[in-house]
Amino acid sequence: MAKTPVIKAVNLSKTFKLSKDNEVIALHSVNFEIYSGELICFFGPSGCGKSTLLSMLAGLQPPTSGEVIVRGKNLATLKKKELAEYRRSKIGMVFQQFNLIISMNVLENIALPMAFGGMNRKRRMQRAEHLLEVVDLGDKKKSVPANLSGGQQQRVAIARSLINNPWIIMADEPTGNLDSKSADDVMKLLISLSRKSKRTVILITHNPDYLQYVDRIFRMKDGRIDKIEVNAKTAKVELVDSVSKLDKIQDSKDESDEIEEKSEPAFTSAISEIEEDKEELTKVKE
Amino acid sequence: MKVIDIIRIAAGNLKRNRLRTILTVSGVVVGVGAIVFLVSLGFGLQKLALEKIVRLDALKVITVTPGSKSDSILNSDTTKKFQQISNVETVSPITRQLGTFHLGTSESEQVMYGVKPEYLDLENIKISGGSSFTGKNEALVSRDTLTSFGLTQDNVLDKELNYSYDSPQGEIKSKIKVVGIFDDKGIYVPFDLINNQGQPYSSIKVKVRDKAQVAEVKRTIESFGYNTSVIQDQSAAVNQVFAIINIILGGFGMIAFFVAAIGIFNTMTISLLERTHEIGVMKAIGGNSKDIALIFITESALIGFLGGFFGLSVGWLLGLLLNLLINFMATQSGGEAVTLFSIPIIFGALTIFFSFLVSTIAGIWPARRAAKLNPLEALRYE
Repeated sequence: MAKTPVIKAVNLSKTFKLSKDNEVIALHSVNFEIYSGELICFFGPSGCGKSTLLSMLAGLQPPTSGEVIVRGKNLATLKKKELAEYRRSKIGMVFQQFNLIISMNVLENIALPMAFGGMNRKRRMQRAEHLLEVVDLGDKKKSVPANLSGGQQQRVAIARSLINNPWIIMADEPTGNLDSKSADDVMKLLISLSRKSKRTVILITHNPDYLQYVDRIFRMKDGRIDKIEVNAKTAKVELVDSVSKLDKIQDSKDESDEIEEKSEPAFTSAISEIEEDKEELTKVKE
Repeated sequence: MKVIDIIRIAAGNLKRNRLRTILTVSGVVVGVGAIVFLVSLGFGLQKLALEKIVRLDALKVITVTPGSKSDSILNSDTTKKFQQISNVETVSPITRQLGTFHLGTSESEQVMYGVKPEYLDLENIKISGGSSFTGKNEALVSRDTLTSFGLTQDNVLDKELNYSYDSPQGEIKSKIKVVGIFDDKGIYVPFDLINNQGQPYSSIKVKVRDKAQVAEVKRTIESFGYNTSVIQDQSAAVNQVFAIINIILGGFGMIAFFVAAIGIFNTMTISLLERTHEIGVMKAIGGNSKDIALIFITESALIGFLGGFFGLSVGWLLGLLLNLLINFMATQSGGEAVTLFSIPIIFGALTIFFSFLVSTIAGIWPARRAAKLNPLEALRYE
């Protein structure tokens, strides 16, 4: 069975026009395919174009040329509203700056994408509460972001990215603003999302410590993908002390599947598809 | 996004910047309050003028006089006929007789009117001394008549007048007791006093149930061959004058309100700058441009609504207090208490709606800018 990529980049280029005759090429005709359930890391120095690339995958800016194809659909063909819907429910974004809304409490922040989707308050608050427990912050429901540490805020942001049960999590330097302990917690969480919930996770980092956990490393330099490394060890990497969390995430996934069944039946098949893909991927690796 | 969630987020944003929200709302309160205060003064004066100049009841009364044809005389049959016209409330005939009156040595020719008790109500005649008549041989005398006798109220009240007049049955002489004084002309005597001579009535007052039916009843009566007349409805002219006065007064208030609208615009624009990053986040996590615009518009609409509501309350209270003060001073100096301020409910509702509408409009431009923000640039904005 031929694998269909979750995300495919075809000759993706981005040029920034700074002035009339001063252009900066941020991305040179990049091509790659990412498969369901993979944990991918774009790794490279600052200014290599990895954030620009991610923002195009997230549909936050259009490429100058080339295509981003997500599950067979070219993002360029989506209308503004469809693009918002894509960002809301097909992907989950995690930022370096956490980017929580400071006027809302933790639960409201987590539930916000669901509010944008028109889900009623009771339902989304239930789910937000559950996700908050998943990220081990069950006691911070009513806190506002200002009263949380960086690591806690980032975990809230991860919970927010999961609220609509997306296909893909995109994390842009999620540990960049964190101390090493919090950074480890956040990374473990992201890795477990990939391993246990079999979500596709796309990670941007310049910290080489985490490379050992990812399935494939896309090494970037000067707007090009220099090298794609397959990490043979990943399957064997033990993730200590995250077992309980993983179980919770599994629960959350089961519950979210229920929600999705009602609101978006197509998603259930997507889940099984993801799982099939994952199995296949594991076989390939072995 | 659900409307309730948009309102929730908008209200949350207003709460976050409490002081700024309060100040912006205060601007609207001053503007709306000024409009309400001034225009309610206009409405109050208008109402007062209408009450003083044209009694609404008087406008419902048709005066019927005999027509040119010989058979169109007014008598008890006519009264019965008029009573059967639909929408007629009261029919009150009047007889008229010129008589000579004696009091002591003074003598005067006076017109006496035979009227029914309800006539005083129909014509809004106020008894300023004594009381209305209760028996047959009683009379009400006008101040004009008193003057022509060269007398004061005290000289004549409860005194008996000798009178005489020529009837078809010959000269009639009798006595009548003065029971009350009124502010008009002539002498009023009970209807039956001069009616029993079988003379036709001089006129009939017909009161119609509603002002709107006057014209129709008037036409019906005219079709019987009688002449009719009604008091010229001056209320239209009065209303017209006050419409202009209200526009001028409201215009002054509008200036304050206009400043407040600029305040809302200013607040929303600053809020937009402050929240650019937040808008970027909202867009990145899947917020529709439309929803983001609606959050902004809802914020300015809420400011307008709150300002409208409190502005109406403040304007109304201010009018009430000033009115109390004026009435207190007026009654202290022996004047009459009046209602100077009046806010028709529809005007109050319109004021809130207007404030809401203008504020919403003031929020459109910032909202559109928020909606158009490039998510990536907004995310980078700090």
